[in-house]
Amino acid sequence: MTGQIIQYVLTGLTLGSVYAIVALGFNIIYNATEIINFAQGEFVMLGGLFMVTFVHSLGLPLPLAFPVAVAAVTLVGLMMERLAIYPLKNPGVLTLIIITIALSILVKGLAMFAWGKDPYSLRPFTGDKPIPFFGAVLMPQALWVIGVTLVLVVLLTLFFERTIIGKAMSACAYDREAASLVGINVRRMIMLSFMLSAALGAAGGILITPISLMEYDRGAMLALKGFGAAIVGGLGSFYGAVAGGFLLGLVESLGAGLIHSGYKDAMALVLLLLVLFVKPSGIFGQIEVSKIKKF
Amino acid sequence: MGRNNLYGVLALAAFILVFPLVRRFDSFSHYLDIMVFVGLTGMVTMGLSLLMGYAGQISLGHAAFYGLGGYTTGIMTAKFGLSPWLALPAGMLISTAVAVAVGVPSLKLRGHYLAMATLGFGEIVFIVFNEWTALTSGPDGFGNIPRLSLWGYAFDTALANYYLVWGVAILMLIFVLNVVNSRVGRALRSIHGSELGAMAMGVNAAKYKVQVFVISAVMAAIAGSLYAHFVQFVNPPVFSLFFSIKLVMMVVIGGMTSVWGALLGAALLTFLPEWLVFLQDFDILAYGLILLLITMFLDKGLIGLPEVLYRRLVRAAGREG
Amino acid sequence: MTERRNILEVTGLQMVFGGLVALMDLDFAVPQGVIKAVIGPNGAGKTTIFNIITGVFPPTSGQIVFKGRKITGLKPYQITPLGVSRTFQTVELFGHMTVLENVMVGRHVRSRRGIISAGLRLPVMRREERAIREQAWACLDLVGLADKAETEAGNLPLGEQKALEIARALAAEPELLLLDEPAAGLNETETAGTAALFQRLRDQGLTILLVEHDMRLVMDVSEEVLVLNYGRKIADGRPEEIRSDPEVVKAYLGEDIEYA
Repeated sequence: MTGQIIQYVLTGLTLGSVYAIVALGFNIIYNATEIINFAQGEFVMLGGLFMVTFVHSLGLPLPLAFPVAVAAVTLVGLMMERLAIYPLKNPGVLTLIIITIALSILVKGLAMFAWGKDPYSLRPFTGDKPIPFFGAVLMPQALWVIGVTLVLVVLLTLFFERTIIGKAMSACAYDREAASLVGINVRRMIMLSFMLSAALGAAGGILITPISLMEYDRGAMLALKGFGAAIVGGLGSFYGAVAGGFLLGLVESLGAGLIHSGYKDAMALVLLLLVLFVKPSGIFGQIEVSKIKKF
Repeated sequence: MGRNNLYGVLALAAFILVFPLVRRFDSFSHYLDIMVFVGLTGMVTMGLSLLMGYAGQISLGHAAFYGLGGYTTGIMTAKFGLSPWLALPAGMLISTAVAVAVGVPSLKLRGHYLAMATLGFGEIVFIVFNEWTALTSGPDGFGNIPRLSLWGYAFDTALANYYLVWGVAILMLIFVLNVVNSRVGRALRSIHGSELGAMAMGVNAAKYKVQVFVISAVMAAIAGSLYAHFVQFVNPPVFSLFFSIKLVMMVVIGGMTSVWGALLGAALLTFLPEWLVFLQDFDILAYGLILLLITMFLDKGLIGLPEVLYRRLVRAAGREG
Repeated sequence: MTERRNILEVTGLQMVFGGLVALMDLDFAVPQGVIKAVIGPNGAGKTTIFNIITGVFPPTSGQIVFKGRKITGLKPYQITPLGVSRTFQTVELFGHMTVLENVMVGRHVRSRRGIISAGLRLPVMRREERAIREQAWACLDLVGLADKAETEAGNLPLGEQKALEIARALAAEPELLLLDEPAAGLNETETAGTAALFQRLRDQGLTILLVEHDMRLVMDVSEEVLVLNYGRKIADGRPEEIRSDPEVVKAYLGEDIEYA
């Protein structure tokens, strides 16, 4: 029985890593722009599918295909921002939400056009020999997922706290007017935030495809749960995104295993709703922050 | 409600009355069915446009309220043999309870919290429809839902349902137009204009947002019940996330700030699949593109198009003159 | 001067925003039926006081008592029905609504009909609508905007927008009217007209608390003046007294408070 629980925990942490990555992507864009990007999940989907194409159709070796796929999705993120966000003058936040929804539908449609409706799989990075672990088994790919996620968090934190560009983006999060007054090109920061989020999402998608496959319409549920993770952890907080992601993944996995698997999606969502209703600022968030943000 | 709106209502009522008399074309019964769906969808979009255009909030789970109405009616009439006139208010009550439970906490916060809360709750309801097979018969759905009957008269034909649905829809239209042109409607519009100013004038923004959310949920529930009686069958795919998003699209494309826009959007997007049949599955590409373009360039929706064109014309005339 | 009851009493008011102390140890009162001005250099905390009194945010500590009733910590929509109404430094009108509709929203706290009676257009609702409309017209007449009733509020020039805000605030039937820089951006004629309006309102029993930079207006209409600097009270008394107060002069050093 303990073995089973540990198995669920491992699965939960793996799932949670992907949710954490999506949540991180949400936070980056939200911090720079106060926009909730409903198309965030599509970046994950595209990452996985582009990777499949580069590896299987073009025969690129894995270490080369990875950055190329991430670059491709980053380009998509850039195009999204330039074509649909940048041209707007003073959009209301309701408008922005609808635009990101429209973008997610559009991207999903294009993905269906390019890849069809079938799920695709990817070879695991370092083989698929399961590693025994306290009565459960750990897939090597899961280690990749969890490991890379933690590395990304550290890199992101360093980026936002130590580099000039990162600090500029954080400045936009605190006060956009003040940031532009000290010479930060806010428009460019917004563009960068979309690119960075896209890259992150792509990485997550590539990591998870060997485990749970990838198909054109996975984006919406991923976005929903990733956003749930972001809210649970506290919108705008990186550590919150990670904590929220792991928490959501654990709830889903344990719920599916111990209670009822059909309702597994519902459980993560119920957690999201509970957090929204009881402590909407999340674990690491502050109430003032969520009230000052304009929408 | 204003003279223009009154003329609009009368014109719509006249059109609805007259439309079935034009039986000439052979796919008439098919179009009659579509018109019933336009009416049902219009009920949902009218409530949604109150929420989006006037209360400035977005719900990505309104299909769930539609579903709650439909399934409550279906379960109570087909599975338990109760009267439809009991099931209808039951569906409305359940929707009210859910809307209050979801809306009160979310509407105190900023807008995307409601968007996500409704998205989440919409998905939960959809999952319950699929998984609670004992009550809902799961993914296959169930039928045998009786047609509505009132004082012995059974709404048995498509035509009877057409008039029933549109009768209710027009009553709802009048209700919504009245609200918009009232103290409450002004309070809602004032929140848009300046939330600070509105609060200073004593408008309790959160309270009104919840009330509008509940009303929009109840309207959707009524539509759902009527849907169940018309199609006599319910199954989960009708009440999916994609339908919720389609509803939002209808409101945005038709025009958020106008109840007429909501009806226009409902009509357009219900007829659109007929015209886009050649696109097959790729119709979602068309939807996404249309939604994106309209949101970016025509923020009052299609109903605002005449005004935009008129202004362009005036400006062009001015330059040449 | 006869002893008057205080319509508003502020005690021990303190407001700290993060690291910034906006208001410190503030005590003052507003007697009923007077026009009292709050003056001070920019950043002295004047608008913050208004925001606290009207419930936009609660103070870090301190009490606000209005007509003998504690209103500290109440929300704006709870305070306005009690008889406090305000205007804003940056005009907060409902730009896309007409002038008349803006004032009708001012009647919100003096009317009751909700969504259901509105949707069904019950007779009781229609009667209330008529009353709201009539009273809104009356307020427009008072500020001289009756002829612009159907104009979109956002299209008015600044002076008329400020007048509209006052009309809207009056529609709520306040006993205490808070005006935040009502003369900012107005020319001399407009300012004089505004001053006359205030005096008319005061004569009808309204108490007015105003934040102003226009010293002529302040000295002309106020019966009491509160002077703030860096969030603290440095003087509180009749205009003649504070004009010659050395602390006040020092605070305004560099600013011209001499007037004809």
